[in-house]
Amino acid sequence: MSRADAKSRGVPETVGQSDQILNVRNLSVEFYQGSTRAFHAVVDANVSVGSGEMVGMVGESGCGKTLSALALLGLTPPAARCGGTIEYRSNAFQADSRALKKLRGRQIGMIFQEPMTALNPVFSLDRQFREALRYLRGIHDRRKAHTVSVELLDRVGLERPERRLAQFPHQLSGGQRQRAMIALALAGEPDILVADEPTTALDATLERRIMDLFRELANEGLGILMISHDLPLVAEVSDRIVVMYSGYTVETGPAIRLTETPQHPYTRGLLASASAIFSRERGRLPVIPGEVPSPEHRPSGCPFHPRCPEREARCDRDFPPDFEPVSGLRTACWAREADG
Amino acid sequence: MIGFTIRRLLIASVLLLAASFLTFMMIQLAPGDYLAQLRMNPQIGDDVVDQMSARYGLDDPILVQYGRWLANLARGDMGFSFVHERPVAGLVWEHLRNTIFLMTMVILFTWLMALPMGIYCAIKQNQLADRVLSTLAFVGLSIPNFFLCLVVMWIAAEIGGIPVGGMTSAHHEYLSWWGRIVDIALHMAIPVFVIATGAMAGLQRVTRGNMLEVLRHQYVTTARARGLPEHRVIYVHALRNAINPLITIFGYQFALLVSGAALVEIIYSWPGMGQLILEAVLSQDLYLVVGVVLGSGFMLILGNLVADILLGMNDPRIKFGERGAG
Repeated sequence: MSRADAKSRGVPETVGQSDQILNVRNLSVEFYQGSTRAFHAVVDANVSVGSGEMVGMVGESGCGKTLSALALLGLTPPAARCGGTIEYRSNAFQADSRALKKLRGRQIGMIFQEPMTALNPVFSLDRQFREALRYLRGIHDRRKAHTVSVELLDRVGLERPERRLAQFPHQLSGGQRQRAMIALALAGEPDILVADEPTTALDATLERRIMDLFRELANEGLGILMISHDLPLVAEVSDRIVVMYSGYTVETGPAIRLTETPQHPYTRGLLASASAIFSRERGRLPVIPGEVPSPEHRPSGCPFHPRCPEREARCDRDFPPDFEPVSGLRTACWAREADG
Repeated sequence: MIGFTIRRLLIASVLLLAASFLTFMMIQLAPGDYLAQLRMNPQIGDDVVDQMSARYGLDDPILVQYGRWLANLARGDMGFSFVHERPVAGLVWEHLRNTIFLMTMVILFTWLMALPMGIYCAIKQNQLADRVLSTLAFVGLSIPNFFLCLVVMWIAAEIGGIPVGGMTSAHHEYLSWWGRIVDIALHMAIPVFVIATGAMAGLQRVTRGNMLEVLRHQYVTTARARGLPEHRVIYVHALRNAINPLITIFGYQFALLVSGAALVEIIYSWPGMGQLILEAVLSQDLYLVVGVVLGSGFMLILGNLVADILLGMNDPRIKFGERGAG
């Protein structure tokens, strides 16, 4: 799917809050060592996903994307404490609530980066599907479970599903495994699928095909939260983009608007280094100087300020609120205050 | 898998043959033989001893003796014990049976206790319960079996009521069918407890370690994320993967316990292989020694074979005997 196709989809300029199924507000994840706080991995993440909407959550490694995703389902490690609220339809959950478990599988499905290790190696696909269908959908009948499993595998485009079901994970290729993973995550009929770097471990052609699969699933009505470090790739298939930096959501907006007129200096930097790869000019790639600070040594104020070309005096004091310098974009940057 | 089993058994029989040959040679190379004691007895005339020597074929060269033993073995005859004045086969079988009996109980006890404890410790990693159980495990691991034997024996003797030696009471023959089972169970209680303490401690540590490692795997998180209940995640998804190394341990344990139990068997005069082999070696009872070595070797090979077959059943990635497959 090219960018031209994406444009012709007629993505709405702004997505109304009313049709959002999942709403994550002020999510934070802190790690504790004993009773003292070791570091604050996610400080303030905000994201929402609507029905049939594909949202890309983008940022460099270490900016808190994966932890945010895990926190959605209460899957963070025991040493972590979460804050903020997670609204699913009409229910609001505290981020550290045990009740989040109820969302797993039936409301929110989740798939992970490594298809190699995300399927249990000692069980056949058939057994893993049967188990999921039994616990999530109450399907106890073997034959019924088989039919449903074949349908699920068919839906994600895994060829010869009957045969695949009899196989073990190690007998499948990487792409097949990732499709099987997606099918398994859909077994509980969730309305939201969270995909954490689902194509990072796959080669480029497979990556594109899996991305197209996600787009199709979204077109069928599934809300998808796609976590990735690859902004251009995600922007092509997503409706909206959320850019994360060092535990903060720094910019949010429709995918096309955000990639064409990025407002946050960090988003601009990400896009500049990506687009230079495709340009004809030879020479050094533009890079964002420095690297993502570790959560233990996060700079005060806006954590991006040491790397920022548009740094102002107040940047190291306060984290900026969201401005709307361009219609539809929400940008947390002091430099955009005048525009917003 | 049948081909694999047959091949393994063939290799095993070659190994057993080699073991028997070496044992045969070593016993022969050791100074003196069973008859030496008789020769030194002034009440027995030299002609009697010479007669015996000729009857048992001890005059022939070693290799001839070994060949004759092999030929007899092919007919199921493992030779004759000088000391017990009985065929070796029956003798070994009787003691092997008692040892297997004891070991089965030990292994059952060990696994039924150690697995749940290990899993529990892994789930409660570094919490109080884990620390207490881990400390206990280290204590159990650190006490030498023979010492524990004596301590338990002393305690049992002080308390009374629990037999501390042998496998059966003097009046065993007069007991009812049910009474005999209770009698043997009582005699077994202390040896099983002593052997199991050490074995259990090790197994508990390994179970804990494996579970901790497996629980970090992506598929465990994925199983949770999929909405499966926690007990399903731990006892089905994690445990099935954590158990592989344990099965290998099972194979070793099976064989190790046969020899490791010898000390306990001797202290508690359990009529098992341990006692038999000690007696046989001390009195240079040639055929009995070889017979016991064969019996123990067979147990070792059987244990490993069973473990390998179990491994293949547990993990679909293990394929038997297919070249290049892994």
